[in-house]
Formats: sequence, structure tokens, C-alpha cells
Amino acid sequence: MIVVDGLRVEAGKSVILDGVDLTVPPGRMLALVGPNGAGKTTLLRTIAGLHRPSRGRVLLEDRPVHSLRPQVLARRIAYLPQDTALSFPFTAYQVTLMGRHPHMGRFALEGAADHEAAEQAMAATGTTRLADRSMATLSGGERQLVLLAKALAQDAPVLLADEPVSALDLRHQLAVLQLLRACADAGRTVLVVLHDLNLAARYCTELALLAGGRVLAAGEPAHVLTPAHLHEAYGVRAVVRRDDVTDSLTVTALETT
Amino acid sequence: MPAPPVPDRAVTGDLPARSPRRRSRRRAVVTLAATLGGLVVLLVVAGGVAISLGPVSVPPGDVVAILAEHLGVPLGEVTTREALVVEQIRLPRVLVAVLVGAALGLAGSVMQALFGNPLAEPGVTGVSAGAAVGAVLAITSGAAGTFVLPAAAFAGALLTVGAVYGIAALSRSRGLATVLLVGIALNALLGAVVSALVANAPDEQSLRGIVFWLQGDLDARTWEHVRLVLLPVLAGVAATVVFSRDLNVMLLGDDAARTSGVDVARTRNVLLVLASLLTGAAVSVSGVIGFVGLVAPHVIRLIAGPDHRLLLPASALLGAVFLVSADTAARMLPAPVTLQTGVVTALAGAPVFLLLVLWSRRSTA
Repeated sequence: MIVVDGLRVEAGKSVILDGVDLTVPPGRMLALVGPNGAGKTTLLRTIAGLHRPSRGRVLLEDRPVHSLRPQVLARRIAYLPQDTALSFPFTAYQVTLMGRHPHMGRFALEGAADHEAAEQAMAATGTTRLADRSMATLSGGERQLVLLAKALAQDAPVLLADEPVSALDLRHQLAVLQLLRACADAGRTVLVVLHDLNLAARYCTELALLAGGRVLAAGEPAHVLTPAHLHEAYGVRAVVRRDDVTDSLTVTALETT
Repeated sequence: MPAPPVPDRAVTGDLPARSPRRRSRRRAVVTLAATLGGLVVLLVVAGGVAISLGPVSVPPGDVVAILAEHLGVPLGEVTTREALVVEQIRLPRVLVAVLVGAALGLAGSVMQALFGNPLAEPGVTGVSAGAAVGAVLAITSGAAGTFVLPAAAFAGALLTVGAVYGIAALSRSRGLATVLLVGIALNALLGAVVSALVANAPDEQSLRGIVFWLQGDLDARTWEHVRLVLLPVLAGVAATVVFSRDLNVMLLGDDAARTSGVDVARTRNVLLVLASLLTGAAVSVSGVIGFVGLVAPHVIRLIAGPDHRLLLPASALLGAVFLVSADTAARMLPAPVTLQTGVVTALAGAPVFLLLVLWSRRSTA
């Protein structure tokens, strides 16, 4: 369970997040949505322990994440950044195995359990066929899938993903969101930054709409995705309908206001 | 809406998985054993050749006999002259080359990993330039001796590391880019100081001494030098190898590394200081020697891949092999030509490096 409590984050003199409260219990998948610069990535990074809040705190099972050692934190929270640049030719399998780092002693070599976890993660993300390829030769989407495999191999109860489908084609977008939703249904806590409101509404159990460093609305998709909220957050006139085929909400932006 | 169940091969419909696990494990072990074993053999051969060659030629059998006698295994009679040459002249020189080469190879691979840049080399933070200022000051002031010269050089290296950190800490952003920029500025500044000292050298003798030191030379190294560099290098090697898996993960970037359980800031600081000290200790007894720290990690990466658990020890071994061989070549050149060890490493290293660049570019293109 992740609890964000009165969070304020500053970078230099500008305030990125202010007064953010959020609770995500296990078994839920929450999408952070909102316009560019709303603070979605900063919120995700703060939950991952990468930013120190100037006020408020992030609690993981009642303990502030900033008080946990990186290794302890990494066993509980896995984080998938937007993109990762690798200047040395590790293979996809080696990168996936790096997800096992927090579970291994300093001088330990990967054991059977570590290889098992890495292999399963590659199978689940459909990257097994890329195992021996150098990361440098993969496409942006393939790299994103391998990094997701690494995050899964980390086997943490909380999974944070920053725009995990931004570089993916249609089919892989669905597959990855299905996979993340399956993780949540299996009892993990999943937080994901998404730009596509329709995908967010379809796959996530709840949404948090951020604008200007604050949470404008949070809860079930139907509660968050209203024309009034969308107008306030994005400055657009939009209609929200229920899609007959997917039985989820769809947003159509009509014009800027 | 309930999410559909996730089948095993959800995303791309992979063919039934061949096990990458078993293949990868076996291959990793074979690569590790073959690379390290091969390098140790190479080092023993290069060291043996270096000890046996010279104005007084010592046959390989006698080299083995002399070394064995020191280990308490009498193998046969050798002349005292041969024994003296080996013990007092060639063995210390070879050992200094081994230790300096290992330190530079290791420091180079650590710096390349920390800066995420295959062009980083051991002197990137300015330590070599700082050591040069210390050494040149010692030479021009006439204080240079077997102990004073390395000590002055190492003091220069230490001061430089301190300065890099002091300045980087003063600036608000403590990122790696800051360290790099400070290093570049210090390299330029200290280089200018060396030039000024050279231009104002008191006499021909010290000028020659300076030039030799700046090019890197292993002439007349003694057991004193071996003792000076032995401990720092062994400690540095041991400490660096402790962090080898952290270095792998750190190549994924700061965020990914920290959320994978690496204390990035602390690990980076420790390793930067360690690598700088290794470089400083090495350069103090040998003078500035280029290309060893740049080339060795590249060759290993091409042969055995980028995993630092193999890369670090293998780069140290290859650095040692490279420097021992270069030093032997420098000693054995025919009479009218004299080349210093550092000149040979650059003459041999630069073309090798160019070939590597072409080769690796072509294989990834």
C-alpha cells in the first residue's frame, strides 16, 4: 500500500507538487494523468524515493520511503523510467537479470531462482527472442519491453511505470497494459503515468488527474473524467462517452478553449 | 472492466522459449575462465620474456631457476651476475610495469563506467596533471630522489582530487557533469603550470628529467618503487572489484540504478576517489603513461562483453600485459633509437585504438 500525504516537492525555486494526497491499496492499478508539466513524473519519482519532498511524505506500508536503504526499497518498489540510454553493449537478458540486483548479496552470482525470475519476466513481456541481442541494437519499443521485463524480474509488490507504452505499437500497448493490470489483479500495487486517457480509463481501476502540481480529481474513471475536470486541467472542450465495445469511458477532445 | 488473463507469452507470441538461462550461464562461466586464464598466461609469458631479454641475456630456464630459488625451490645453479641482474634490475622493473599497468587498466574501466562514456580515461579528473605538477616541482627544485619524486607526484594527485571535490561541492549541482567540467578545467590549468615550469627550468639536466617524467618511463625502477605502489594498487584492486555489479546496474542510468538498489551517490563518490588514487599512485612511480587505461577496457569489452565482474579484473591484467610488453619493446630497440615506455604505449596504443573504433562501429552498424 502506498500513501502520499501532504506532499510538496520543489526543484530550485519552483514548486513542482503541492499538497498532494493519494492512497493506493494493493490490487489496484492507478493511472497518473494530466497535461504536460503537471508533475506526473515528479510524483512517480518521489514515490520511488528519487526526490526528497520538502514537506509531507510518502509511506510504504507505514514507513517513509526516504528512510529506507536503496536495497531495501528496491525489493519493495520497482520503477520503470521513461527511457534508458545504455552506452555499453549489454544483452537484453543481462539487463533483465539486473532486476535481481537488490535480492543478491554483494559477492553472490545469480542463482537458479534469479535466472528463473528473469526468464519468466522475458516470457511475460514477449522478449525471450531478444534475449541475446545487444540493447543497442533494439528499437525504442523493444527496449521499453526489456526494461519492463527487468522491472518484473525485480519481483517487488509495488510497480511504478512512467509512460510504459509511449514507444509501443497498438498491439504492444494493449499487451503491456493487460500485463500490468494482471499484476494488480494478482495483488501488486501498480502506478502508471499515461497520456492516453482512453487507455487509462479502460485498463486502470482508478485515475488521478494532476494539473499545476495538484491533484484535481482522483478515484474511479467516471468520477475523474468529466468535461469540467478536463476543461480545467487541459483547457479543452471535450465529450466523455461510454464505448459500447470496450464498455469503458472514451474522451474526445473537440477544441481548445 | 476485468482485465483478460495474461497468457504465458502474452506480448509477441514467442515460440516456445529455448532456455536463455542455461546457455547464458554456461557461456558466462566459459568466457570468464578463458579470458582470465588466457590473460594470466600472457602476463607470465610477457614477464618472463621481459626478465630474460636485455644487454645481459638470461635464458628462460635460468629465469625460472632464479625465481624458484627465491620461493625456496632450488632448481639449479645460476651465475651470480645473472641472479643480480634479474633480482636488482629486471624483476623490480617488470613488477612496477605490472602494477602500474594493472592500476591504469582498472582505473580506466572504472572511469568509463562512471561517466558512461567509453572515451573516459584514468586522468579524466585531472589527477595525472596534478601528479605532473608535483613531479616537475620536485625536479626543478632539485629535490627529486627515489622517494621524493613519487611522493611529490602523489601529493600533487591527492591535492587535485581534493580540489575537484571541493569545487564540485561548492557548486550547487553535484552531478557527474560538474566533476567532468572541473576535471577539464583543472587539466588545462595544471597543464599550463607544467608548461610554465618547463619554460623556466633551471638547467638542461632538470629539463631532460622533466621530459622523461612527462612521457612516462620505467628506467631504473627499484624495489623501493615496487614497495611504494604495491599497497595502494592491491587495495584499490580489491576495493574496486567489490563494486563490480553495482557498476553494471549504474550503466542503466541514475534513476534505474537507485531503484534497483544501488546507493548511486555514495558508490560513485567512493569509486571516483578510488580510481583517482589508483591513477595517482601509478603515475607517481612511472610518470604519465597514456593509452593503457583507454585501450585495455575496450579490448576486453570486445572479447568478453561489458560485465564488470569480468571487465575489471581482465582490464587490470591486460593493462599489465600491455605495459610490460611496451616496456620490453622500449628497452630492446636497437642502439641509436631511444623511446620511452610512455611513447611506446602511445605509438602502439593509438593505432590499436583506431582499429577498435573502426571494428566496433562496423559490427554495430
